[in-house]
Amino acid sequence: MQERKKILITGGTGFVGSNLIGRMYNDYDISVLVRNHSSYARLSRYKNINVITGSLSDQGALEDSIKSVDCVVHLAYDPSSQKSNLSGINNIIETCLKYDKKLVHMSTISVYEPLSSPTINEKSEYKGNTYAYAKDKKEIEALVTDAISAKSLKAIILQPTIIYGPYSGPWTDRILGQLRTGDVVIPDNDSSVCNAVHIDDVSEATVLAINSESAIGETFLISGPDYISWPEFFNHFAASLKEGAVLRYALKDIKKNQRNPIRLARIILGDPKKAIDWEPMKSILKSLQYKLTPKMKSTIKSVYATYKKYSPRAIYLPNGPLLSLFNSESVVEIKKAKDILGFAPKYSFDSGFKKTEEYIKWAYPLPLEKMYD
Amino acid sequence: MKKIKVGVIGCGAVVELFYLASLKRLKSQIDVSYFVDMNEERAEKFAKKFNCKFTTDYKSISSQVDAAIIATPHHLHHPIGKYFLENGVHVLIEKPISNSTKEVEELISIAKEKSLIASAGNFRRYQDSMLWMKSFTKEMPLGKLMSFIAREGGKYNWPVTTNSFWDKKSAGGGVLIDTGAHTIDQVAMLCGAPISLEYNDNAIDNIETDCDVKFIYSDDVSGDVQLSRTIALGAGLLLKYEKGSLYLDLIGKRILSENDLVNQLKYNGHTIADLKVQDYVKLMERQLRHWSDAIQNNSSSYVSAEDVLPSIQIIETCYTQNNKA
Repeated sequence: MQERKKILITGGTGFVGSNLIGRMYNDYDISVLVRNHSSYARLSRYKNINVITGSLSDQGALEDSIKSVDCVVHLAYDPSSQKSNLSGINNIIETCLKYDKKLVHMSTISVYEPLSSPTINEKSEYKGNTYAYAKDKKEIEALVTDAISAKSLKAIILQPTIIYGPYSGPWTDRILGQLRTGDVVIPDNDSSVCNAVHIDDVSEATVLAINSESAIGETFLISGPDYISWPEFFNHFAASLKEGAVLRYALKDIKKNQRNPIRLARIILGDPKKAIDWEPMKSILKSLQYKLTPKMKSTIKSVYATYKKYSPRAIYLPNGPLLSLFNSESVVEIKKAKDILGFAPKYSFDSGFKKTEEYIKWAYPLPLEKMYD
Repeated sequence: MKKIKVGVIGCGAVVELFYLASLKRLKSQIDVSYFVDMNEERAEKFAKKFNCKFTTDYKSISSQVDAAIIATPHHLHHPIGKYFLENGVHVLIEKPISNSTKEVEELISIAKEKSLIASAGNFRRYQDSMLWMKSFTKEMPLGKLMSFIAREGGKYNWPVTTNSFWDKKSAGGGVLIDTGAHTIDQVAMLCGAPISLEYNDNAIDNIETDCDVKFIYSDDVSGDVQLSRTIALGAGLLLKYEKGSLYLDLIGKRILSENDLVNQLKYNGHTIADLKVQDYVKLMERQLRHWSDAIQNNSSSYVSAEDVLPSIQIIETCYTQNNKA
């Protein structure tokens, strides 16, 4: 019998990590690196996961956990500190090189943003720095790419597209949350292309990468077998939730609204979290986050929840990078992943969404406050 | 009146966030004498705040306190509670009071035999809205209960201080026994115990993060409870009666109804419109006050181990059903 592979997953408690662990649990020995006990909730369904408490900057913990595994899957990303993202990936690279271990690094389609050419493949050009997430992920990916070419690091880079499905923060939960509390504005463009991929297919691609020898040193775009327009993508969620509306505005009107102070005030009053998009607010919050006690955090949450209950219905306008994405007509090619990794995405958008609807039904039932008479 | 000497057993998050502040407010009634924790540093840190003693050995303090607050990992609630009761010390045990019916029954029986107070830390029962609902369900002004839906959930963010919380043996289970110790208790208190249950959860080979419980009362009366540690479900209960329905915040003050009769009803001096919200520290303070009143004055207005027994029975039945499946 073949020995079970030992895998260390960073970011194992997150959206992609939890799904990947569900896919791998029966066939692999899994270790996860967690920063605190609270974040472990989603993995508590499993008994036999080796939990290592520590951070990526903890070189000792990292060495101990990497030297005993066959492969590291690096999913962790901290939006609040690029410094720790960079030191984390450097530590992982150094340790993988030291112990001759394989690394599967999860990057993103965002590194190609803004998407403007008719097709996007692994040879497409990386554009200028568009926004924090894309810029961060590009920098992190560059360190892996450099280590592959300069030091023969045994790494594979995956670049998934729009990952939707249960627990997807940006591409399922955020959309549903917005539709529940307001209306979502998108550009009126039926030729736009949403390169969506179901989370289960991303996990499958990751497993293929873990086991592939021929893919070492390569980068792969991972997307679904088909694509739809962005209006279609959003309409699926609105139809399933039966709440909120997807408003199709002309591109110029969205841009005008983004600059109109009265509109902006209404948007922020409708959803104060929008204020977080404002860079100075981001740095204030970043500096505060380690100073807030759990009690203070819970008070803020409760005040926010109460406010949301009584606040006007929000209108959610896409910010600059999202607007560009929702208006993009670029089609992502996955030929390389098919040919070298053997990637064969299982879910068309229709079948993947059908699966996601089971989650929507469970996680977004009609609020009880709307059901009394 | 003589103050009650209290030992606090377990110095985890619930003690740090809520008990410390509420105990400070009750200085005239309660004299905190000891903090006990396996982690001596934490016990010492809390003891300094009260200028009292600390130890890692709970057994060593039983002769020096009148009463003990037990806020340890779940599986230790019963053995530590039992030890104190057997040694003549009143107890207030955090929820879930225990992981099994048998253990709760044993605590009840020892407390009875020794004439001691065994109280359950189901502090939500002290909310004004729950007290209002208690009177409402006694009177049944909207007729017979036909169905209900209870939902409670949020992305888990409790600042657990040890990994024991994720271990089936020490935690006793997942969201059902943790959050459910409140939700199921509130539902059982307001709707009664069902004749049968249907249970589903998502545990693989450890504990569940999400679950559904169906309460069946008869062929045409049933209720659904949905609990989650991963999904924001809020915390509410919708009750449908023959003549109308109402919504209750499980944590908070809101009771909502379109029914004129319900809106005019006054219990304990309150209509549903003038109910006020009590924060957690205030509720803990209320819980501690009722408990110490019971110890000092034989008052019976505290939440007893017997009160929460039906919810522990329901939780146990759910887990047993799952094991059989």
